[in-house]
Amino acid sequence: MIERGYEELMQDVLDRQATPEQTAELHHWLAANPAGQARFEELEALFWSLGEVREVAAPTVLKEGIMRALRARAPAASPAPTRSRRPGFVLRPAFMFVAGLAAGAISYGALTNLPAWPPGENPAAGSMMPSPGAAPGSKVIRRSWSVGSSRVEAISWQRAGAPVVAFRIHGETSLEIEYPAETLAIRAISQTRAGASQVRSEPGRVLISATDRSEFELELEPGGPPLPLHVTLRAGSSVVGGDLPLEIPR
Amino acid sequence: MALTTVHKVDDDALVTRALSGDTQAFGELVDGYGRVVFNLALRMVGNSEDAHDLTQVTFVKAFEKLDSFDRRSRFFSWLYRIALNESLNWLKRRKRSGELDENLESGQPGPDEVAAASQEEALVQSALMDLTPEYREVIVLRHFQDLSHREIGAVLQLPEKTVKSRLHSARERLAIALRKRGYARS
Repeated sequence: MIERGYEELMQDVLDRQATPEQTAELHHWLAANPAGQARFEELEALFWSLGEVREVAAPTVLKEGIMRALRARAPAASPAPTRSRRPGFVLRPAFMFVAGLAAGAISYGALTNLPAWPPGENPAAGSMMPSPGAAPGSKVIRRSWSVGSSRVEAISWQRAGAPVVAFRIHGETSLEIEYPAETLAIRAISQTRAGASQVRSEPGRVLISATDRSEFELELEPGGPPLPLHVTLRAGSSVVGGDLPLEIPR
Repeated sequence: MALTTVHKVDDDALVTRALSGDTQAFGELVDGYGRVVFNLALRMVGNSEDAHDLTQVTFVKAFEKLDSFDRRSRFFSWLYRIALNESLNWLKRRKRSGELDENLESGQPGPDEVAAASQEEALVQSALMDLTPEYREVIVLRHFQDLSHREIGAVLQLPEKTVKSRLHSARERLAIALRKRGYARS
């Protein structure tokens, strides 16, 4: 058993935080203490192993992505984004739009880390795909549409008593989400994964144009019967679409 | 050899220019710190795709909050704190949602990471993922970012004494995690 003072001193010496006098004191002590010497060698080995871990080059597109997001965040035509401050909301650092205020507005997406996409059927497992944070017992509804090389995966679930839908977009795509404005409002739209994109929101409709992988989340405010959203995906001259049911709180 | 040295950029001047709306100046900060922030996130979350996302988020947040940066402190401390907070939040969300991917759950690095790293590195990263985030972050800051106890204290806003004590405990746990994997050196 090594005295605590010497254990600390050993780590200070290895951390290069000890004074020359302290270092000399330790080596003097080690010379007469085989157990201490063994412990010191053990620590040295650990430090060595940690030192073997190499620095990894950052992705070449890192700076480009950051600068693109910064350039896009404040176009003159855009409203100032509003960040979610609601307690309990899993904040994704994304640009948030209050739907009621967003009519006719155009905003550009930024980036974020993600919630995790529901497990299973997930072609991108291991990425920061979304987690719905669904309420216990609440259903998660999935739909997907493909046209050409473009694809949209959508899920809807319930979070904190309100329906939430998320879209994961692959490829150059125009996505139109229609909803009954008389019974449903959009509380917020957030881009939960970086990707060049444009979002336009107006009552009853959200239009998203994306040129690469992007993810968006819509928080909804139900005021009536649980009518589904209608999703239309356009890529080039091809169009597909369908309904995305909502998990409305009972 | 520890991983990184802090880039010798003139942070203060670049921050001043960035605050006046010069995104090019902020780009120079990205040049200076992009790699270290990416590595910080990589060691915290264990895979490069998520680390990439977290690095982007960190810089965008830093840009958005640049006016709240206390100029008496060092830019890198502040930036590292944002990166760590983002990483910790991400880890919490993953844990809460119960959707840790297999790599994290088993403490194993993903295939890309294995391919890129030596067996020893892969073992260390894997053992690192066994630690709680609190322990992991001090190991990452000390051994992979080469910060002193004082600098770690500034990043984590902890007294140096606490940093030391946490480092000691973290190393103990890391050594156990390595032994568990049959790693002979420690």
